[in-house]
Amino acid sequence: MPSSTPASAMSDRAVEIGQAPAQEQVYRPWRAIARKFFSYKASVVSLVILILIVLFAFAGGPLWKYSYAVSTSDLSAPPSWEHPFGTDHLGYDLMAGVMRGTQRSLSIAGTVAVLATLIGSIWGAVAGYVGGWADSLLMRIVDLIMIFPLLAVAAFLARQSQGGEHGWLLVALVLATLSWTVLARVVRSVVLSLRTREFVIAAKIAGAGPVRIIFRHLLPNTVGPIIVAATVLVASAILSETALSYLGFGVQPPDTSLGLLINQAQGAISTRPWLFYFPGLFIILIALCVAFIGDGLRAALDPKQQRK
Amino acid sequence: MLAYLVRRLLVMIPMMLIASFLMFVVISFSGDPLAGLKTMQPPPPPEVLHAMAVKLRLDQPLLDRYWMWLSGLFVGDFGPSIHNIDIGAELVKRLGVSLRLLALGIVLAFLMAVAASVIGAVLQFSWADHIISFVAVAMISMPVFWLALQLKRLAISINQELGFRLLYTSGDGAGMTASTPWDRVLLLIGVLALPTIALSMQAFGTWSRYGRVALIDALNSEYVKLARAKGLSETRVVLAHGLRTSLAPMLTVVAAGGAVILGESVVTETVFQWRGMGDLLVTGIQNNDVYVVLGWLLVAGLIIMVFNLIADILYAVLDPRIRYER
Repeated sequence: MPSSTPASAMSDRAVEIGQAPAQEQVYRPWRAIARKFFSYKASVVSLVILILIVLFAFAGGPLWKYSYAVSTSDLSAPPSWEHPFGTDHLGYDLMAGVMRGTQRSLSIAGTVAVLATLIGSIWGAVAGYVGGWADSLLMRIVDLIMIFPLLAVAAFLARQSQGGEHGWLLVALVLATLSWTVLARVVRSVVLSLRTREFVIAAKIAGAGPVRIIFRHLLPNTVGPIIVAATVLVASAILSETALSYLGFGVQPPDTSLGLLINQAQGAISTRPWLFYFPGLFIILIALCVAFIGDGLRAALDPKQQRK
Repeated sequence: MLAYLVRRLLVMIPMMLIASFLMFVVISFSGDPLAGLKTMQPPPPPEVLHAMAVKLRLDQPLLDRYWMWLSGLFVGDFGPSIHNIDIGAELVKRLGVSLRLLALGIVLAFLMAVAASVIGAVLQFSWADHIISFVAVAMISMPVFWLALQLKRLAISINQELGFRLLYTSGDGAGMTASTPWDRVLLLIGVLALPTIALSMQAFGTWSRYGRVALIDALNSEYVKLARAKGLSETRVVLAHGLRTSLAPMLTVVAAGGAVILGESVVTETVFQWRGMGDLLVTGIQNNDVYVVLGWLLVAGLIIMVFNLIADILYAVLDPRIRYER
């Protein structure tokens, strides 16, 4: 059982990387990492707020008395007990809209993060481990994708495939196919430093094939950088999705997202400012929380970084 | 250095060719440019649809279409447009408008990021450092269109306080004239101020975080200890020895952010209703005008490649260890 002192957390990590993760020797440095993470106040507070936002978005919709899709008779009402976030000029309750929008934005960001992390990690690991011309080819493809502004390409592709009940999923797929490149670069650089290590050579001598080495030996040892890069991905996916929806190429009405709510509210900046405070506040809160959680994870997963 | 420059410029040609081909294929397969026309009510006669398809070269095989487009580019023909836009001329005009915003935004973001990193690194863990770090994270988390809308709101009340229109909340200044040189400067500031600030904030946040870490690393290194031991003033140590080397890793981040800031300029221009590259792209996508989108992406790809090249050159200038000769 690892103790909570940073020094032992460091040696846990060293043991984990230094020795081959053999089947019978199950070593779990995660407890020490979790303890370290929970010692960062900002990260813990962010985690709590993010969980509350997720609950608000996914459980709030069915519980709240108004629906995002049904208008009420209160037109342009400022925030009150009846409508905590106010209503728009057609009488739609904004809190219901924000719940639905947050749900959509979070679903998209989550899907993007999972898909892009999967594609990017495997891509980067293969490039880094195989090396040679395959590495050059794979990484040039990454360079090519990164030449183009993600937002512009995503806007075009999302516009081509938009609409329908699963419109949000298409937006997520488009963003995922364009944003995995960062992960590929991160994972490749870690794998490059790992491929000549003893445990990989040992596995190779023991007769493990490249697929087994990549999935059983290399990828598990890049989990730290992958998790950190994935949190950055969540934050940037939230911002990309809201920007797309703001431009009118993302989630389409009658469905809604946080970006679309702001788009619809921008004509009323000075007359109904609440319409665009609340959706904006939620975007910023989510992105901020994810960023602070990422900082905590980075510190907890990096054995070199010690608390001052 | 010159050999390196020539080599880099030569590498850009095949890169751009492959990129343009990929782009062309992806965009051709992603949908029917006439879909909007076909679903119109009442539906246009088949002859019109056919004529449009011929005009957009949809009757030709994909490779022929690509070749026609590519060879057209060399004589300034960016391809046919659904709405009869002269794409080449339009791109040049719009680029002039947008480059002002992009260049100013990047410079402002970079200067603020450098200033913030110096304060953050020199006064590490002080209250100033904490505040700057928090502002940086907040700026990274803030959607550019939301910040832009807030600035517009703020500008409206500033203008009301002043009693005249100092800050323009829409338009890129085209068609507005000023009689005296002073008025012209005021107009230029009024038009550019809000979009530039809105565009630069997110980049400032990202770059300052990297800059701070890079400068802290540099200030803890042996050569800075030596510089201090020699008795150099602290200002000189930080600026001439620490900052100079920490700018190099920062430039890598700046270069990598080129595509992001270009994407954000589209959003910024949309909020401030500029008739620049952003508007060209947005209306192009709305009208499904594929050759407009293709031309736009081509120009964007070129801008980003040149941007990366400049960053690499500055990298060599800043860090004497980096030599590009083989």
